[in-house]
Amino acid sequence: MADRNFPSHQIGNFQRDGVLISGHFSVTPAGGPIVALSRFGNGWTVAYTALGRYTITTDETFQHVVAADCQFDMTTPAAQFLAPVPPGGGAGAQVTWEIDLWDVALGLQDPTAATDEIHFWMFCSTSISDRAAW
Amino acid sequence: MADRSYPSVRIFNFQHDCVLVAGHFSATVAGVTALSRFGNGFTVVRTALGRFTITTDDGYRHVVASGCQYCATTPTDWYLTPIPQGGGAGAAVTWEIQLWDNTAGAIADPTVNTDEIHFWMLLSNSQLDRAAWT
Repeated sequence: MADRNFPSHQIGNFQRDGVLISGHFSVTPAGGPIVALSRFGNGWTVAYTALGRYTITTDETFQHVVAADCQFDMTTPAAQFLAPVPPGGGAGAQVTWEIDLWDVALGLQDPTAATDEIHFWMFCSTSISDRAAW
Repeated sequence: MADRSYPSVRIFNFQHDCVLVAGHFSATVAGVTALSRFGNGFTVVRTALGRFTITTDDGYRHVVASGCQYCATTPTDWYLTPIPQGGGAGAAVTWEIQLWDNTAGAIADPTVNTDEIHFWMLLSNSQLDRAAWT
C-alpha cells in the first residue's frame, strides 16, 4: 500500500493531485554516510554522494516540482546553511533533489554532529493542468 | 474546541492525521513582542540572547519536517540556525530557534520589533508513518 496520498479533490493552489513529499535525515560527520535510523517521512530515499552533498529521490514519478524548501537544524549554532540545487527529474520520472550544506568559511562540508538534521519538503504536481513553465 | 485540524483523511505523504503547526512572532532583547504572535497551537518564549523556544500545545509522535525563516525589516546577513526538535513520543514538541549574525559570528537578538520569525512543523500522530528508518 502506498504510504502517501494522491488526493481526489483540489487542494492548495493545485488543479488536482498535488503531493507533498517531506521528511528529515542526519549525516555522519566527515565523510557520511546517512546516519542509520535517522530518516523520517514517507515516499523518498536519500543518499550521500560526496562531501556536503545529499540526493533525495522520490519513490514515485511526478509531472514537475511546484515548490520546495529545506532547513538545516544544527545541534550547535554555526555559520552554515543549506545551498540546494534545483530539483531534477519529473516529466513522468522520479524527482531528484541534491541538497548541499555550505559552511561560510570552508565551502561544502558535512555536518559537524550526527545529531544535526536536514529537513525538507517538496510540493509535486502530477497534472498537466497545473501551470508549469509559464 | 481545538484550534488546529486533525484531518480524517490521508493527505500528502502521511498515513493519516498529520498536523501542521505554523506561525510567526517578533522579538527583541526585551523578549517576545506583545501581540506579535500569529498562529494556533503553540507558545514561544525568549530563553536567552537570540534564542527562542517554541512549544506545541499538544503532544505528538514525531516531527516529520520543519522550516523557519527570518524576515528582516532591513536586509542583513543574519539567518536562523535552529536546533533539532525535542519532545514528541506522545509529549509536546519543543523547538529552539536561534538567530545568527554572520558578520559577528554569534547569536544575536533582532534589533527591531518589526522583524519577524516565521516557522512551520509537520507533525505525525501515527506509528504507521515511517520514523527512524534506514
